[in-house]
Amino acid sequence: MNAEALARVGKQPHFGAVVIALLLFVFYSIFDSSGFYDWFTIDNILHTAAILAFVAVGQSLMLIAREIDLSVGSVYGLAGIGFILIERAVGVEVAFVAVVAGAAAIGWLNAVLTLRAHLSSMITTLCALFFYRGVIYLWSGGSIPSLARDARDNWLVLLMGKEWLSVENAVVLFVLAAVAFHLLLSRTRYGNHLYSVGRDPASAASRGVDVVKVKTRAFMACSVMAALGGVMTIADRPNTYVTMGFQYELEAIAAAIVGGCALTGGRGTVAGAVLGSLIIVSARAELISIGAPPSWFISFVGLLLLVSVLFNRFISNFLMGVRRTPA
Amino acid sequence: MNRTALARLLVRHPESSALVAAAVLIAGFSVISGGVWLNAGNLQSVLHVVAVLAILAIGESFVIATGEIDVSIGSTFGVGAFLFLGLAPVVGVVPAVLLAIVLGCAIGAVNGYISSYLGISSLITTLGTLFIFRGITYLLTEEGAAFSISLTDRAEMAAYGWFGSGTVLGFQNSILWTLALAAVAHGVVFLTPFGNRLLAIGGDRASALARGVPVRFVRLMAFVVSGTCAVLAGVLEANKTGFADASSGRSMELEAIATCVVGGCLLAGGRITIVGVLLGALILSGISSFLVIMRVTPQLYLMVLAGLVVLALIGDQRLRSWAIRQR
Repeated sequence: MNAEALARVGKQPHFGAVVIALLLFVFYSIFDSSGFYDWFTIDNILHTAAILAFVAVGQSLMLIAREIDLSVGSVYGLAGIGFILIERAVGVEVAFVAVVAGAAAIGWLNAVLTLRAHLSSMITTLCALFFYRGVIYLWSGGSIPSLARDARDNWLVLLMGKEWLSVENAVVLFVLAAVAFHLLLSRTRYGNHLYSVGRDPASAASRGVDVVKVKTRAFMACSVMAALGGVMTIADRPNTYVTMGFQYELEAIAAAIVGGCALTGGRGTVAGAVLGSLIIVSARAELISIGAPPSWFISFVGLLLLVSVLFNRFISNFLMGVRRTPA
Repeated sequence: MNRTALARLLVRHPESSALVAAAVLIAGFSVISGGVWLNAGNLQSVLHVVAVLAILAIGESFVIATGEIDVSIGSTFGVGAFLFLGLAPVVGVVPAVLLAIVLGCAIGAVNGYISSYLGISSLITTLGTLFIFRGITYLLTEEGAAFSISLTDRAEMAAYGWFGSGTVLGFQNSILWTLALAAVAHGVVFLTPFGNRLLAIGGDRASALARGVPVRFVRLMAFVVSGTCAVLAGVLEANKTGFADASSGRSMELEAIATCVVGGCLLAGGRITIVGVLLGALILSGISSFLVIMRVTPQLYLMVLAGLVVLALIGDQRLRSWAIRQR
């Protein structure tokens, strides 16, 4: 491969994630202490990663638009718990629509507070994180019932929670969603606008892109994706706690960043978010299987986040010849 | 007072709105709770919470001054508390505090080095270290290490009461430490060249660099201050309660950021006020204790906090732009 082709491969935002994934793959193969290549393990990892990836893809849209959504963990929890509580009153189908509409409304409100009131999305969504966590407590009173028995046999719940030909439906649904989002980002006008808004909002606006509108849609998509992740979790496991989704935003952001998104905007891919989710979830499974205490996992995510950001920076400096910005 | 004078006051003293808010809230709480909020016992406990939160927020305000953010201080707080409780019985109280401070400097230096010298966004860097140190506190408690000092042991230790738990002339030591630290911090920010550079970087990094400000170094030092303050707050809290568990300091980073915002610090950088931070800590702790007295579910505090921060940000923005138009 010549240098030019190498540079083209290296320029892809998710190149770092590919390298990390390959290294981990080799590592798992060498230290395969408890059957990593067991279908049960792989199925489990794929399922957990698919749900994380729903949230991480939404987060990637935000990061590409040079915004961040810290409230996805609370929205994920609120959606899952809200789905259980609403379902008891109006049934599965209406509850599903209500949860998705509610999530879209939350995303819209985040967008209004951020874009119309000119506040930083970091602080508005931080407040949203607090606020919706409080809503969960007030609404549920602290104890969460299970998803009603008859609801578990509803076609929609089965569609989201069961498996077909020993592949979890959530994984299939995620693959469909991932393809749709990949096409959205790479083939449509909206995707083009999203990247341009993230790279340079002023020049995007001067070319006639409606920056507020493009970003508002990203906010809404991000909240809806988090909510879908929450509902799918409940469809698979009907019991949950009031802490559902606590610190999940951190895992989702880590997955998006490991996958090559940058806080400076305009950078990131769906493939990256998928790889990032797979890396985080498989690393957790591997850490547990080699006997590391589960508490280490959170330190590992932190370390992985820093290493991958530095690694991505190194790649872009080295391959693209980008010089470090002064100060 | 005419409008221009009022406008000038608002621009020169960003803490004035926090002062008004604190006065109104204290009067309101005292009346509504029938004097319970204002009694000596409650004030004692509120002031200790104010002291700990204020120290954390003073450190955070140094980082906010440069336009960056440090979300790792909650974990640093926990690590500081653990180190103090673990070392105090072994090496003595004062050496334990000094070692904890050294650790705080080191954590701050790591955050500062990665974010300002390696050019990684401070949110991502400190999110990473937030994870790493939280995992370490989980790990330490999992191995059954004792992180509590009994009351009788505390009475026997020389100088134990100096940090947080003792009193001088009826004042709790924690509040005295906080006032001393606030006085030093105020002096450093507003009377020294370092403070001037700190604010200059937050105001306009490029022009600060052009005027010869060592931008990277000053930003590194801001993170060192923040890490040190976080450890100090952890030590004061651990000293008071004699106990720390894996969740010590969890979400404290969010409260500290809220304190800075409510106090009148500008998140974009370039404007902080130490007096405002003290007032912000008083407002937040006051609300929290008021909700406890009124027997409201503690989760409501999160929602109130979130609403308050958004209101404070929007109010501050409106007020400042009005004040600037008056000139």
